[in-house]
Amino acid sequence: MSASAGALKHHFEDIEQQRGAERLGMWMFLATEILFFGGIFLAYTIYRNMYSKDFADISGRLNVLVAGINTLLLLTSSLTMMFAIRAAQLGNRRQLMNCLLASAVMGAGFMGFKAYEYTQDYYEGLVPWASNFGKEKVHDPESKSHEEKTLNEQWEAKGVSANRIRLFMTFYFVMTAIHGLHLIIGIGCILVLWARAYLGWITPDRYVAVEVTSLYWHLVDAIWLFLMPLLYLAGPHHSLHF
Amino acid sequence: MTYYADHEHKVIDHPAEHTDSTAMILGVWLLLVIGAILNIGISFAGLGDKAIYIHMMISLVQLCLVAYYWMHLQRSDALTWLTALSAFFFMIILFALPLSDYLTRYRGGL
Repeated sequence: MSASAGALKHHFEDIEQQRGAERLGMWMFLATEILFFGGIFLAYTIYRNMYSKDFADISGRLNVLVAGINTLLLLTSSLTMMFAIRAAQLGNRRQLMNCLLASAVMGAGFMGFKAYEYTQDYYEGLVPWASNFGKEKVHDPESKSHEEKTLNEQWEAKGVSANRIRLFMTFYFVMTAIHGLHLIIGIGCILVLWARAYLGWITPDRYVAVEVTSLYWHLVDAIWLFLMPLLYLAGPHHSLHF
Repeated sequence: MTYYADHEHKVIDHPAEHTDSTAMILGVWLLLVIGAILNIGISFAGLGDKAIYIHMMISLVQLCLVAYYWMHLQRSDALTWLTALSAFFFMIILFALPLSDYLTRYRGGL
């Protein structure tokens, strides 16, 4: 489908130059985001190198099944963003709206699972600033016995430091919360795009709005692809369960 | 008649000509999902401290797939490449300098 370049602003020579500038602007923002997350990843790497045994022990307790489902949700939401760009370029408004909505819903699903995980962490005594930290009686995934001991007792028996566990869980909450915040902002941007598509404002010549938003969404997705193994897979797992 | 500078005479453009193929979009998604499954599977293999290297390799490949195909670096201009690579370059500096201290101070490495 061809379209008149009505989206062209007067200070650009042609529509392709304008699109290039819009993409470049987003890439520059993403470069700052990469460095922002880089600092946190660096701090995590240093402490993980120092306390690898303690980090591996507590990482084995995190819910890898939920993390896996969340990874699938994010990857699929990026897939629907790709189809949204395609629909915008082809002028298929119905498909564009459906794909945008699917991405937003999957992003919200991710946050829902995250909320479930945070709640589960609280009940297991894994929230580092909560009064029940390390005091809850839970099953040890490495033990074959069904006897439940408090986390503090389990860590003491294994020679794992509670303070280092607290440090790992602080990293876990800070990193996943900052990522979650980015995801919420992304959902907001996608919903704005959906409203614009609903009003008929995203015509084929304005498809780059969807593409630029997808760049941000893909970066948030890519950051999760590193967060997931660093936090959830830092130690050995023995079973998948909710 | 146009009132803006349109030296290339692109008053009519063809966004539909820039679409990604469905096969590419689905193919990349499939590879990313396989990577994620592999990553989780490896954590059950009992590789110990060595597992992190494999995890990071898989994640790097996934990142390259996302950036090159889905984020359209594949058909981006030199300035966009420069921006993306400069972020990568400064990440290397960010990691290399502090780690050259910490990794040599605490023997045993990563």
